Amino acid sequence: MAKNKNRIVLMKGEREFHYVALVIMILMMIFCVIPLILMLTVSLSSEDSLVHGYRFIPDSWSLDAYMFMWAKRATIFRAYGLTIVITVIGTIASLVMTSMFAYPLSRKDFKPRNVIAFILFFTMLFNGGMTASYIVWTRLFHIKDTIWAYLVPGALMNGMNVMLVRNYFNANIPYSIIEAARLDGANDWTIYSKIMVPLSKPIMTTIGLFSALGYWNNWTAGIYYINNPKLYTIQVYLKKLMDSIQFLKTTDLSNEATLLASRNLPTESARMAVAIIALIPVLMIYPFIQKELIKGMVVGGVKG
Amino acid sequence: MPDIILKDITMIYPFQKVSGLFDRKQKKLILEHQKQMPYTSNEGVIAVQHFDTTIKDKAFTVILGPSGSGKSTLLRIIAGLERPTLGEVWFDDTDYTDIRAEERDVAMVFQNYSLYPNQTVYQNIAFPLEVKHTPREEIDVEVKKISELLKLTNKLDRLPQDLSGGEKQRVAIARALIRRPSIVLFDEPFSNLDVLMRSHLRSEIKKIHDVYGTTFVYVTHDQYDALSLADRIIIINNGIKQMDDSISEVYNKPLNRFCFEFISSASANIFEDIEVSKDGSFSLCGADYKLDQKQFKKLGKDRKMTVGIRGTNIEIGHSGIEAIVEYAEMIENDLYVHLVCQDQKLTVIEKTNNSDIIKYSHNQKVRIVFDETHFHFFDQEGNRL
Repeated sequence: MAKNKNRIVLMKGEREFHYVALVIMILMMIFCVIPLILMLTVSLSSEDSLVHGYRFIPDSWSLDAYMFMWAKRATIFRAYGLTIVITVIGTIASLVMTSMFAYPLSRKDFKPRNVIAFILFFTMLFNGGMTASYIVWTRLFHIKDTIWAYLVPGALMNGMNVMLVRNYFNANIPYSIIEAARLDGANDWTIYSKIMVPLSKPIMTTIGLFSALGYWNNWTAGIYYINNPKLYTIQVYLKKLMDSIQFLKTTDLSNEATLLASRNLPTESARMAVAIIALIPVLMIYPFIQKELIKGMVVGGVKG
Repeated sequence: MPDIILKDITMIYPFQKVSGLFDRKQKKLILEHQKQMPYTSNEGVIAVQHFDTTIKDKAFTVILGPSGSGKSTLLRIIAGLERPTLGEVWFDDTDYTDIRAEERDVAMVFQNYSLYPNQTVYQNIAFPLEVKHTPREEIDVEVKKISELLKLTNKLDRLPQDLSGGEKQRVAIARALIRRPSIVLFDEPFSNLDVLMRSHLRSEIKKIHDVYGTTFVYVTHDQYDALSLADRIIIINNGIKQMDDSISEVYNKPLNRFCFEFISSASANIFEDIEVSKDGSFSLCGADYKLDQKQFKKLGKDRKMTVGIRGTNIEIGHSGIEAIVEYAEMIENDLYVHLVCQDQKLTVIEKTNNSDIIKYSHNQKVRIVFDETHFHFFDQEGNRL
């Protein structure tokens, strides 16, 4: 009886709609999961079995790609460590910068907010381009071959994220709460840190995850600005590794040593193993922040 | 603790400008609508105009007016949340017009509570002391004291979302009072509460005012709140001060017709365009009365006036003018009898028991007597004679 009471009674036509929706959702889920499964199986395939293309169930299994990675573990772990440091520092800095930028833009009593919002929006659409920014960062700020190369250019603050946080502040935090805090004697820093930020957990999680993913996957900064191998992040290292493998495969194979080296190297499976290794931390973190992330995407209403 | 002196306060909210590609049509309509409002200037809508008053230290002052009359704007100007377009705000001998809200030592209780949803009741109440870096032990003592006064002791670890409306408003009051500010402002604090809770909190606020002895300024559109709480009432309409006096003066000698009608609310009966003869006599529903010489002299040349009388000053009895009952209704503990007397609609209020409602039926003939000592006379402009 108790079970029946809790059941949702579906109206005529609703049941059919639910079935159709379920089928569509399952199909979409399959489309999302298939590439991941393929990536995993390819990384566990022997190199020979990949000659005729990727398969979900390969002719022969092999751990060569992972063994190859394991042989390079010292470098890989260092790169991992650097990536984690950059991602953590970058994400925190990015969240602080973004929310601190968004807060005054959400305040009705901040007169120049529209002008600043326009400038922000303008730079989202138009910017100086690659060459100009490269010159600015390397010659003016001298970030070449420093950790700042990963943190600062184009990643520290994103106009779109500022807009999202500002909209969240405006739509979800009643202005009278700010006024109440002002009358309680709170200054802007207290209002921002004790009220606005704690009340913005969903959007902060969303922005934080996007930002963290951006830092984690950022290999272009390394390619542009980093020459010192000790400053390679995991993505940069893997990119360089791929390039080296590609180089060995495409150079003159008349040299016997090169030929030997290239034959023993896993290529396709290594690519996928690399992708799997880079994906592991993200997969580990996601379940813990999933709830807040979805809430943030719904209220932010733009991304997702 | 200071007197609050408002000097010639005028507040104009600028018209909403029509700009941008989207919603242009809608914005234009809003602008047109704003320009048709009764009090507008070239710059915008006038919310408050040329408002002068002195709110006495430690007094319980109620600013009373209908929706959109500018009373909340006035409160926000005192709080420092808005800067007046013209005029000055002084606390005693100091000009506070340009001083920020957080530096004014003013606390406010909002209509929608405005509690911090991420903080517990304890944290909400303690917040004003925390921002002042008060020692933790002192905060504990103060929170305990105020939560006992407002009966919140067993709710301290709850979040605002787990509280009822009345409890939320109690927390808001506790938060406002904990740092013992010089002035406490109340912006229609009971509008979202039911009748029982209102009357309960009303008496609590009155008690708290007696205990704390701070200046309380209370904004409301509810004359019951005003009459039961205030030492002094300021009536405002369309941003203009109508009256500023003690309860008894406001109730017994309203300065104009608006004040009479607003303070009397549903009990106000108005007789329009009453002609007064040369000897000062006039007739209401066929009964003759006489205006005294002082009032008669104030009449205009056309010798026409408006007469007001409250339903509580009309008696239904066995003699007097004949009237016909339309219907009767119980409002709280009073019986409101709606009558028609020579095409004039009247409301008579009787203190009665619930069972008495059946003693009046539709089209029943009754006899009424006006208590002529309680007539209120106004000239054609609405000013008291």
